[in-house]
Amino acid sequence: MEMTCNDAWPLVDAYLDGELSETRASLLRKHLLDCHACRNGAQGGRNLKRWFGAAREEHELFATSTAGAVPSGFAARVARRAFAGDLGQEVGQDVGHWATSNGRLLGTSSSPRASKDKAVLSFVLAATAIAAGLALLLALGARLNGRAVGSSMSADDRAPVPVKQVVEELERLNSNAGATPAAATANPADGSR
Amino acid sequence: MQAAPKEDLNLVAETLAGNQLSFQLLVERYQTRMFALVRHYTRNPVEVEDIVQDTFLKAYTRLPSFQQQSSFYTWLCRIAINTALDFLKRCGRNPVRGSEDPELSLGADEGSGGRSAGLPTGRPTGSPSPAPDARLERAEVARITKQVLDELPEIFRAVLVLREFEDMAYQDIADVLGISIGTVESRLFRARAKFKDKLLALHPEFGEGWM
Ligand SMILES: [Zn+2]
Repeated sequence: MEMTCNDAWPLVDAYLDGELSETRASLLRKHLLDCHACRNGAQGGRNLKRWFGAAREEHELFATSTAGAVPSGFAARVARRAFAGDLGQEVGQDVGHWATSNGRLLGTSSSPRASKDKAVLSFVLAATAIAAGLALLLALGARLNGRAVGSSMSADDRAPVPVKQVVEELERLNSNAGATPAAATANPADGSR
Repeated sequence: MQAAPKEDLNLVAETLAGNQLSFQLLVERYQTRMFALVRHYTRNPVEVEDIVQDTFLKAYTRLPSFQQQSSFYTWLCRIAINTALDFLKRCGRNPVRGSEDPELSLGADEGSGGRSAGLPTGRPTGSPSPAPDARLERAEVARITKQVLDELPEIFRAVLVLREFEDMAYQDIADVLGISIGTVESRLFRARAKFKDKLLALHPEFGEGWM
């Protein structure tokens, strides 16, 4: 059964998340192999995931920094209060302290950066350059498509191992591919649907 | 999510049996993740601590009703998110536009009605500049991400946070938000499309070639 672009689009994210059932994944792969526009979309999805990956690293970095650390004795304090019958709900009662502490503490958590020129961000853009990704996706898709037939389904249809492999391999090869201007393959004029 | 679920359940049982230390261990196990999660709703450290504390206190009082078909962690996330939203509401800060962090406040020009959330057309990349300091890079991406997330309706922000920052499986997200897996899938799809739209509306310079 053929899949249309409209069917395919919403599935691409789940596919990249490794959350698509093998049944749907193989249908999607088949479509991606045939459809240039959706392959581009998939690459865009990959790039967005990288974007979030960078944001997440930073978020986690903050959590392990001094400013982001959980106050010492927090757990003991909470447990004590819980067992003393404190039901919580105190949050936000005292909004007054907020403004001052906000002003004071923000300084430590995030120093204002001189709105660094956006060129800085080109790191992500470079890293996510479409590069040879499309060709790779095509190749991988073909390969894994074939493999999936043989090793098919466990009891759990949501076992997207091959999909994860696609994603990982794509990622690795993409980063190796560097700034190869193979992005030329992304032809905007191709509006095939 | 590597934490052995059995152990969580043991600690829960021991807590219910009256062991304060067991509860303390549960708090210790998840406090860092709860702080990180709540930080998506407010950056104010005092508020974050209050909300997380409240989360654990609520968890304690509701422990008898904890259904073991979901993990303790996802159950906790659910309480934390609801607590954070309640808090923002009580403070009169609209969760949809809760950007109290001055560093993150947006420029005057809004009007970001958003383009259609269709599949991005793959435009060819421009020539990428050489990669600068990666640390700065990430910080900037994180700042902009926060800015854009704050602009999204809560239902979209929540799925993105749980997926992209907490790295949750769809089933876990479904558990936390009390929605079906199918809804998680479609909501994430729409959330990402909206995220891209907002990002490009705020920073059109990123539009070149990558999304
Ligand atoms: Zn298509």
